[in-house]
Amino acid sequence: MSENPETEERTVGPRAGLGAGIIGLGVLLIALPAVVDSLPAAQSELGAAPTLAGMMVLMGVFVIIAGVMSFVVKD
Amino acid sequence: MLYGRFEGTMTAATTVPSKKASSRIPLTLVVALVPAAAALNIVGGYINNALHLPIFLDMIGTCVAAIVLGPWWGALVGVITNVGGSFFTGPIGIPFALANVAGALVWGYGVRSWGMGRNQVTYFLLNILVALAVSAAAAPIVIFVFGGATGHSSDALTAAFAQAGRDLVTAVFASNVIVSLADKIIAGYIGLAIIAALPANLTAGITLPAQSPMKAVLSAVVGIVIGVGLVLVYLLILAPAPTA
Repeated sequence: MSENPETEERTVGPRAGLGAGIIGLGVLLIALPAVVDSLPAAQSELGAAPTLAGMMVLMGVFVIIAGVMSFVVKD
Repeated sequence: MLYGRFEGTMTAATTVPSKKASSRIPLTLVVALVPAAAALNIVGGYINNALHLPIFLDMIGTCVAAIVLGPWWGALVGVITNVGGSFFTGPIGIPFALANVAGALVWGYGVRSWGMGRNQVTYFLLNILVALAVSAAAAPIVIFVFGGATGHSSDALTAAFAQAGRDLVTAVFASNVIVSLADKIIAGYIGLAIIAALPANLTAGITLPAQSPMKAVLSAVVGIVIGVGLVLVYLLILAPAPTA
C-alpha cells in the first residue's frame, strides 16, 4: 500500500493580508453611500455630500497607506 | 525546537531564534480567527452598550487578529465588525470602521514589526499609541458626521469639557482620548490573555511579553485595572454632577 505524504498545509503571507485589508476598505467604500442618509450629518440642509466627502478623505488616507505598504510587504 | 512565547525560564521576551514574526500563517487559522475575532468585537460592544459603560470593548478581537495574523487581517476584522454590527445596532457604527482599522494597523505593526511586544513597558506604550491613533481617526468622524455627540456614554465627558469653555473640537478630542485610553488598555491586555491561551505553534515567532501563565493572567488583570481606574477617574471626578 502506498501513501502520498504530500499534505502541505495551505498558508498565506503578508501580501494576502494586505489584499484582505484592501478588500475590507473596498467593502467600506461600497457600504458607506448606502447608509449615509441615516447618519445625523446627512440630515442637515447640506445633505449627505459633505459627510461622504469627509469620509472619502479619511478612507483615502488608509488606501494610500495600503498602497505604500504594497511596495514594502514581501511574502 | 521550542516556539513557546510564555516560557517562564526565558528572560524578558521570548522569540523563535531564527525567524521574525511568522511571515506565513495557516489559511485555516485565518478562516477560523477572522470571523471569531469579529464576533468577539460585536459581542463586546453589545455587552458594553447593555451595561452603559463609558468605554467601547469593541476592539478586543481586532487586537488578537492584528497581533496573531497581521495588521491588515486585523483591519479586515475591524471592517467586518462595524459593517456586520450595523445589522444589529444600525448604520451609526459604519463610519467608525476606520477607527478600528487604525487600531489594527498600530497593534499589528507595533508587535510584529516595531518590536513593541518585547516587554511589559513597551506593550503598555503600544496600547497607548493605539488609543491615540484610534482617537485621531474617530474624533473627526464624531465631530463632522455626528456633530460632536453619538449617543455614547462618553458624550457626557465631551459636554463637561465644552461647559468648561473648550471648543467642540478640543472637547471631542479630549474626551475621546480619555475614553480610548481606558478602552484600548483593557482591550490590549484582554487580547494578550486570549493570545496566551492559543496554541503556541499558532503564535510562533511573535514577540510578546514573556511570562508564566499566572503572570499572563496577572498582567492582564493589572492592565484591566488601570483601564478601569481611568474610567473611574472619569466617572467620579470628571463627569458632570447630575442636575436636580
